[in-house]
Amino acid sequence: MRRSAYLLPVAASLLLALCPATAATRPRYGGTLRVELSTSTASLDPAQQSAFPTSVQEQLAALLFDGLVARDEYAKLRPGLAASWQHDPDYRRWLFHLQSGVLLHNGEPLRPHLVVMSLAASNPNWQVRLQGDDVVIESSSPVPNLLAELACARNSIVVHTEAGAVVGTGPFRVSTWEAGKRLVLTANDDYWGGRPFLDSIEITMGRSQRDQALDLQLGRADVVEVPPDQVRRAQQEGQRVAVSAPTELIALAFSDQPSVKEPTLREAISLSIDRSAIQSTLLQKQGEAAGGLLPQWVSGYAFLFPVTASVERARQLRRDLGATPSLTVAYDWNDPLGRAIAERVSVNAKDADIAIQTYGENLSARAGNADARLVRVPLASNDAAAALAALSVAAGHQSVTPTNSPEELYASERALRNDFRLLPIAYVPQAWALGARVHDWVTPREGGWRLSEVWLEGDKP
Amino acid sequence: MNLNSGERVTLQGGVQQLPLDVIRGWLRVRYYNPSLLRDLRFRMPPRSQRVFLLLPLVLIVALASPSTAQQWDVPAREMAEKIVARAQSRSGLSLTVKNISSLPSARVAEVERALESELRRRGVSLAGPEQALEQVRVTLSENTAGYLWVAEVGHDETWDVVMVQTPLAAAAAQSPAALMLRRTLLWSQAEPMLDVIASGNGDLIVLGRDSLSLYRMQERKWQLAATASLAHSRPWPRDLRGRLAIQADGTVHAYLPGVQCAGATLPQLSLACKESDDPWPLSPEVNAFFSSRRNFFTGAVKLARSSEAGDLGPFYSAAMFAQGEHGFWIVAFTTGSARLINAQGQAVTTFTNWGSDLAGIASDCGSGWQLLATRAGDNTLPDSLAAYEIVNREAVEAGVPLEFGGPITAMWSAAEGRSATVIARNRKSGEYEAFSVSAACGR
Repeated sequence: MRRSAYLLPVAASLLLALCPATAATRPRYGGTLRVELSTSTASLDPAQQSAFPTSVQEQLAALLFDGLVARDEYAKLRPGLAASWQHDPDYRRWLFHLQSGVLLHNGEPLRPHLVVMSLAASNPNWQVRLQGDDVVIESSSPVPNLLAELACARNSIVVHTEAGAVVGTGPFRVSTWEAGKRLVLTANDDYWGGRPFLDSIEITMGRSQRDQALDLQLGRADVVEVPPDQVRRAQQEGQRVAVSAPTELIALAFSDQPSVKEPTLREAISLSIDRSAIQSTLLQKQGEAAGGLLPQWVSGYAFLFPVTASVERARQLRRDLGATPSLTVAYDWNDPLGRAIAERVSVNAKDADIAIQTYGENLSARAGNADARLVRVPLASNDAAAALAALSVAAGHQSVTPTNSPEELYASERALRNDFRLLPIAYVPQAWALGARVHDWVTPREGGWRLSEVWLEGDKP
Repeated sequence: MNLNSGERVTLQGGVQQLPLDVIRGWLRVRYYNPSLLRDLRFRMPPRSQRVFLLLPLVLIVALASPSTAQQWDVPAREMAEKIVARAQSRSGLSLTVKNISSLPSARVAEVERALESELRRRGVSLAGPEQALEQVRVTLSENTAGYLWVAEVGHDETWDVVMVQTPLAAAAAQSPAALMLRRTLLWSQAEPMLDVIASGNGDLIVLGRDSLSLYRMQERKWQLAATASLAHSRPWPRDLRGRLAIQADGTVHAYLPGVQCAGATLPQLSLACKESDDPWPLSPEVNAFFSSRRNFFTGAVKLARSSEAGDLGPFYSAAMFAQGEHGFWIVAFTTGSARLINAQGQAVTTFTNWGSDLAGIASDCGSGWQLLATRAGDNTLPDSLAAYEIVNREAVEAGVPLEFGGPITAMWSAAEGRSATVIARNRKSGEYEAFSVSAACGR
């Protein structure tokens, strides 16, 4: 009895010592974050992105590169590679003073002329030049929202070395790159914004959603995708799911094929699509039906665009056109949800006497000759004007006039939408299932990753 | 376990060793009596003066607090002008207001009244929907820039759309609850803050990531008097930490990872920074070395007035705690657990559900000392600050925790010992807010 009484506190103290460390508020350094994705990208160079960059491309760009201006998790604009800036009264001429001491991943200093070259390459319409060590951007028309534009991934500062490599200044550097399959990133110890907490990130691409779910369950992955239609189920099963605001536009993007050259045909297809039904059934009420090109939370006026089908009107337009060929719509063969939506669009179109055949293809390769593709376009910015400008360029239009007036923006969006080259169907959120050891995962409202802030539970402080 | 002077102690976990003399040195008798804290070398204005200093700040906050229905006057006027410009006539207009924004329903009525009033002021006679010749459908929407009011003016298939953008209303003021812990807002700003301290002459000193700012009370407002940059050759670590201290001679010291700055606030702000791995003050008598590239103390500690040193193992924070004749240190280690170390240098208890930041404060109630501990959890979640009494080596929660709208990013015991400076990030506004937290103990 006496022996037992003695042993009890000893055992208790041992148990205390063996207890796994609990989550602490303050982040800890170390560890490898394992991320799995269903999509893939063939290049890490933002300049080689397709017309409609995928979320993955934008997320990888944010890890490897910086822009002159950045957004924090509250979507507020903050200094990035530019420490400060000023502009003339009519927003035509902007001057950026660069941070000092910023190093590229190859150890070379980031010199101002490299910034000029990068921005000039990604924005042929801008006049970008050096003024001493400062960078000047000039435009023939006022650009009041230039800062929001510069915070977009496509304006990341990318340096091409003589050897043909692409280097940046971002929080992580490339350690291993197997194009389209696997990417290993290591922490940039000299990052000007502070070394990330993670030692490395291992990203596996092209993994099916089923395999991702299994790997998370078996502890072989820390972060996996959750398709919008699976979000509710994952939450009900008790998984840790991080969900953004609706930030990815699912849309039908028409090609330049003669078969879809007639705007009235495109309008008829648009009128035939029952977006509300797609959102409530196929998307399991996640996200929002999209009548406009920008989501409601960004524009504030998206509710003005109708989302219900007008089949009678679509039929009328179709009759007015006379004979039309059967059309083809391609979807990403690795995207089951995309397939379901494409097939629903085909069924809707049939109700308006328009024949559409659907098929899967590798959309990232863009090899096919489909009349239209079902694309997923990430929101480029939470600034409505910058986001619309990016969509406009992607859809093959001239950039919309930058404006801070919601009425002018609404007019621009209406004009862009009424061209019917890009038919919005739905806005869906980005969702991720997280393993137990992942901490401080922040899902900004506008989507994307903030992996510099993430840390892992582990032994190493 | 009894140890002789000079022997080293192995704490639970087996890696932390500390000479007994160092631990005993931490717990000198002068700290056992809270009243002796007034003798500490940090200077603060008398309590009455401190209250006076904070009063204008409170007034400023009150003046900037959420407005009444007057907030809608300007956007309502603008919207009414646009509606009248698009309407066919000023008679027979029906007005409907629908809210799809985050605006509380109680405030929607204010908007509606403001709109009706502005329309009538422009000679518009409003009619019911059945009698109306033209309709005005106003939707109170919201976008990333704030509230967006959208009015559709017209009838049947002919509609014009006009819009007015207006900033988001300030959050409703929270009603003060009876709390054992009391907080006073010292300062808030959009940029990160590492520490905030009041100088001996009533100025407010704010330590940011790249600069130290001096604010002076002028015309009942804190005005930026001067800023000094914090020179550093290497990038700061992520989760940057820093601490301010004012010495008896009035000099200001800023401690940052691998960098220390010293200067004066009078006659004007001056600051000189140098690369330094010298230890930071944990308490007036104990210093601890901070990692130059990480967010924690390395574990090496030494007495301020002697060369005695020891190694605890990496930790985030440590709080001194005294109770009658007994003294303790509670240390939040980087392993995620906090441990109570007694006067004999023994780790006698492990606490596993606290966050990384601890601070000790003295008060006039209970045992005279309370431990403040943040809540364990991610930075993505709201945080809270709980007070504990140590009873029989166990932590007993005292009173109601203080809730914060975001993570507590820094907490340091204030120099006068009766409060802690707490910096939290408001998840709603994104602002960093510095508070002085003290134990009101029900009074």
